[in-house]
This record gives sequence, C-alpha cells and structure tokens, in this order.
Amino acid sequence: MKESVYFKFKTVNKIIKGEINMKNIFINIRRATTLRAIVGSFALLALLSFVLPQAAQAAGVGTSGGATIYNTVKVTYTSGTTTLFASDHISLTVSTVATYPTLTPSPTSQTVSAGSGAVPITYTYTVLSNSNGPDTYTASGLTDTQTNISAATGASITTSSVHLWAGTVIGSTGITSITVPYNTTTAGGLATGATIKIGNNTYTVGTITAGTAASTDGSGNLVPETGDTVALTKIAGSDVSIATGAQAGEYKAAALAIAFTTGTPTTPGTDGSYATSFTVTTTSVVPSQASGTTGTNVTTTVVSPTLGITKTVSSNDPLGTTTVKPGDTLTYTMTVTNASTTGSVSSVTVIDPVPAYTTYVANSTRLNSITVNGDGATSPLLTPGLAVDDNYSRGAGVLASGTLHAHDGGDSGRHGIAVITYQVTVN
Amino acid sequence: MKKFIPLLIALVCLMVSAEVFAKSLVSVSMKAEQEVTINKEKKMVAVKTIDPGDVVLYTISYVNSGDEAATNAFLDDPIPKGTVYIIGSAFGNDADITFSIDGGKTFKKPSLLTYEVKINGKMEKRVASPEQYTDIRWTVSMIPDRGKGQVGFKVRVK
Repeated sequence: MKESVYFKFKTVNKIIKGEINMKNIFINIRRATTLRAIVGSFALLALLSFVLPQAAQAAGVGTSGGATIYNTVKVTYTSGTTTLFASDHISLTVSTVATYPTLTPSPTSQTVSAGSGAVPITYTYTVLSNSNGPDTYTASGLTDTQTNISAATGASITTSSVHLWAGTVIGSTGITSITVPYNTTTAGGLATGATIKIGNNTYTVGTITAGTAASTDGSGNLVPETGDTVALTKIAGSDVSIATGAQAGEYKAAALAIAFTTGTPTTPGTDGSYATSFTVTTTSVVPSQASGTTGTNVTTTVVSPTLGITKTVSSNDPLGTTTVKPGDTLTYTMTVTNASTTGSVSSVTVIDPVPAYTTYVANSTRLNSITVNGDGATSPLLTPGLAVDDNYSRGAGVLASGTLHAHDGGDSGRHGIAVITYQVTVN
Repeated sequence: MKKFIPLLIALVCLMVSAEVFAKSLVSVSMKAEQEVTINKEKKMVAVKTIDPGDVVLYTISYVNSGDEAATNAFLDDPIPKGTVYIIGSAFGNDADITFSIDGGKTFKKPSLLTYEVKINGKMEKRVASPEQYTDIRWTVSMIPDRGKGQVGFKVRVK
C-alpha cells in the first residue's frame, strides 16, 4: 500500500461497437512498474481487435436448445499471509433457433377416378426436425390450385401441430448411445421409443439417463456438467459412427395431415388436377419465426373417363353380313375400353336397342363370355341398359357394379376391357 | 486528565484491534451481456438466454471491501462449455492476462501457448488457436483496500 500511488483514471471508451464501458474504473499504477502501463496498452489493443468482423458462424445447428452455458470465476488472493478465495457464477440458457423442418408427404401424389369424390382423399406428412432444440411445428393456411376440376370440397388440415425434440451431440459411443447437454432430453420432450435421425441413420431411442448440472464447489472451482445420455438402437442407415456436433432430430410419421374430396373434371376427356400446399411455422422465435411451404405440396389427379366402344357383327350365313336373309342369326359384339391406365371409370352402362326386323335370341347376352344374370326373353341392353363390370372373377352372371377398371396394359383381357355380345335372328 | 485514561485505553485498543483484525476481503461478481441495437443505437444489455452463434461479454467486477490490500490475486475463469473464446477479447486494466490449454494446470501468454503434434514422424510445435483455450487467468498483483476493478472476455456460443 505504501508503495502505491493511486489516481482516478477516467476513460469513456467509445470503441465503435461500444463493447466495453470503462467509466470510472480505478486503476492503480505502481510506481516501479511502467510495464503495467504497457500491458494496459496491449489490453486496449486487444479491445480494438474485436472491432474486426467476426468469422461467420460455421455451418451447423449450434449448441442444443435448452443447454446451460455455465461460467464461474474464482478469485484467489492473499490477505496478510492467508490465502483466501471468492467466486461467482452465471448461467445462460441456449435458445432453440427457428429452423424449418423436412416434410415428406405420404403418398407423394394420388390418382383417383372421377366420381369417387365422396371418398375423402388424405395425405399424411412425416416431419423431421432440423433444429438445435425442441420446437412445435404448426400447419396452417391450406391453399389449393384447381385445374380443370370442379366441386372439390372440404380441404382442411386434420392434424395441425407436432412437437419434435432435437439436440446437438456432444459425445457418442459408436452408434449405440449419444450424450447431449444436461437437461436437454426429457425436458425437451424426448421420450423412450421416439424415432430420431442423426446423419443418415435412423434410431429408436432407448433408455435416457439424466446427467448433472455444472456447479461451483466449496473451493470455488468449477464442477463441469455431465450430459444426458440417450441409448440408441439403429433401425436404418449405414453410418458407423456419430460425430460430435452432429444434429439429432426427432421425426414422426403422420405428424401432420390434410384431407379433402376431389371434384370431377370440368372438361370431359381431360384429367383434372387438385394441388394443395400449406404453411408450416415454428414456435421458436429465434432469431425470427421460420415458416415455409416446402415439402407440403401434393397433387391429386382426377382422371377423366375416356371410354371407347366398337361394335362388330357376324353372321352364321357363309355369305357374311353384307346382305342378310330372314332366319340368319347375327352376333353383335361390343368392346368397351377404358383408355386410362390409372383411373377406373364408374357408373358405366351400355345401351343397345335390338335392331328393327330382328328378334332377340333369348338368354344370348354375354359379358366377357359369362351369361348375364337376369337375361331372358328380353335383351338387357334395352334401356336402362347393362351395367358393365370387367372383372372376370366375380360370380358368374352377377353384375355387382358398373365399374370399368383402369387398363393394365398387360392382361388386357382382364382389366379395362368389357366385351359384350348378344344375338338376334333376322325376321 | 484521569478521566481521559479510559478513553485513551479504548482508543489504543481500537487501534490495536484494527491492526490485529485488518484484512482484505475481495469479492467478485459476474455479469453476462450482449450487444443489441435499439433505435439504431448499440447497447450492451444483460442476458439470460442466448442463441447459438451469439457473442456474450462476461464482465467480472472485483472489489476489496477489506481494510488491507489483497496481494497476489488470481482471477480464474474456465471458458464455459459450449462456447469459444474470441481472440483478443480478454481485457483487464492493471491485470496480466494469461491463458491455459490444459484445463487450468498452466497459464501462458497466447503466443507461448504451444502444443506438439506429430507430423511425418516428427514432433512439431503449433501455436494454440482460441478454440483450444480452456481457462483465462487475470493476475492482479495487488488490490488495495477499497480498491476495485473489472476484467472480462467474450465468447461465441457454439
């Protein structure tokens, strides 16, 4: 004390960024140590140096949301001959950064038949967190684009929000367990049985073991935290290790869902399309609320019925059908074809009045070679006509429905084509 | 005169006791701040939550509230887990600043903080980068009675 000189050193440091305000800091300069002044100038230089722009944050998600940044300081000093200490500490909590998740629709698109509008079409979405911490993702604002379609109705978001855990790996044991910062697992909504993705691998979460918080011990020293440990069972992927700093994100299938009914194509013969998308918004507001529509777009094609029909006639008369004479038996063959390879056509009926000057041959109508139920003395092709079902496997003679399935291109006799025959005799 | 004797004794006792019980009592307090821009004006504000990538300024204030100078004071601060020390950010007037890359076992000036790596079979010396710093130490040879000061540093949250 006796060797020191004190004076008040008043500086108002206005270093561009205003990093440090050193108003009224007492500085004592010992008489003998001009070195100290030099050290002081270096400190000032050091202060100036961080006016330089900082390197951009490396790509990655950063420390886990919910993690604690624990800083402790200990001062050790000598009072007379006694060594004493004091300490203080401060804890900061790391925020979850608003990060748009990865959405995958299931299915990615659908093709439905015109006329199946009463049946709701649904899409579900798998949502994968890309964040550094837990967050809740909310779907809203369903919009649609209708092309050549009318009367699509009821489009709505049927499952509108999902909470997903996420964190940053700080340690791992092979691919069987990871360590994340203390209090960032169950506190963030992670539960045993959840599915998470790290790198290219997918895991089922096993036992979660809580760590311990950082603290300052009785001697003023830091006791570092121990992280939470999460046991993992790989269910997909080929990664053989998990890197420190890797992002771990929970994903849930059918986490979001939409439903609607399609209408029918406005212009017959042209397929209609019904495209929908919605907005997904994060709950975390750091640094600003993230929202987007990526991954939500799905398109439903409504197939317009396009049927073709050909009619041929043959005769039992060796002279053919150019001229016929009374008593000849004529066989009419109608081939009804659904040109679409993707959509079936419902409510198909074929009407064919028996020609004048001919008489229907009782029980002669066949659909794909099978006797038509209810056939008798009168042609079933008279109004209201014969319902067509091209499915061979139905019970003989039973016309259960009037659907002409999509043309399968291969087994064409079975699907997409209905062959109807009947006979008449010339009067 | 006689009646002043007890007073004198009391005064002597007080002086003696002051001499006997004179001691230094240093305490520290820490605050965490972040730079924010309010109405185009940059300000440092206290923070409780922090975003990855953000810069935190830790300021440690020390004060000797005792009636004797404290000597050989060391302020040791392990760089918080989950953060990286920002080069050149440590400050402390009147303090000698050194760093550790071995968890606080040894402290050196940044230019002297080296470690050895084996390259092509030969051991090579490398100067440690700030990412490798584990602890900061401010050495203040004396804190006078009623004296106080501030030291601090900045980190970037990983």
